Amino acid sequence: MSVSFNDIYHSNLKRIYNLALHYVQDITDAEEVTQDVFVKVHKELHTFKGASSVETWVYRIGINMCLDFLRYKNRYKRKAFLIPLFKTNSGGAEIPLELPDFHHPGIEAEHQQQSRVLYAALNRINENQRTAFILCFVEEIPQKEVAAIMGISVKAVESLLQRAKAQLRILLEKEYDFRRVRK
Amino acid sequence: MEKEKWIEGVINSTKGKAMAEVDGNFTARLLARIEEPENAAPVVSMKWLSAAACAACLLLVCNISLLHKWNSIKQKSVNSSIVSSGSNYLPEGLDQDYNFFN
Repeated sequence: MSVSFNDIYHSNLKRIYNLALHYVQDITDAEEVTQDVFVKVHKELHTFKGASSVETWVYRIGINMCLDFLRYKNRYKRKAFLIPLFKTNSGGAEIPLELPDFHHPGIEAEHQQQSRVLYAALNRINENQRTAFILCFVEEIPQKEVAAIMGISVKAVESLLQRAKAQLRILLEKEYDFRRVRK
Repeated sequence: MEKEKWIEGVINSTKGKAMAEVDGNFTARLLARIEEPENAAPVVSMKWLSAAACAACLLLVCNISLLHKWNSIKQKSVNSSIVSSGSNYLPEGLDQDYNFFN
């Protein structure tokens, strides 16, 4: 299977960078993760046997690197040890959302504030649910392709997406109530 | 109703977004990284790796010597208890005039 790195890079760069932006919610960090992804793709290209499409393979590397980056970052985040104390089945809905200091460059100005709330809520849900939501709902990738990327069935993707939306609703309802009280 | 509208607005806030673009010199930086991967500093330097190996060896030696010491102390205490219990059966410890036929 001969695929040139140049072709992979040019056809996937934007997608991987945007994917990283949704996960890490910081422009500099997203660029760093995107660089790591393509360095890995360049290094591992000879191992790619063509069992899946190149896009699926690159996406998989991208998601894993984003999650690794977040795990590494959260390990050193101050006060991170306090979060599990408040976490419950509702995904930590008992504490107000911490809005990230991030403005997605592609989102219109009028939706920036709402998207920050969405990103904060996404940070509170389970990794698999978050991945399903970002890929299906935010990136609008077909469920069949998402299933191939995540290595699960289409039914499982549907279920993850439903649960992600349900969790987000719980968090957002609480956040709405917190905001009402604060006013 | 207002709450529901707000939640829907938040969930759909990324709809219709444009794709973000990387910084202008991103490709040049990436190529520089790919061309010189060997120059990247290793996560743990050789100095610390050798220090960790030495510490592990030292720990192993200490453990083995402690085990040896512990075994010899245990052996000594067993021997001394046998020797001390033997004195109970010495003739001076027994009643010499005991009449077994009484």
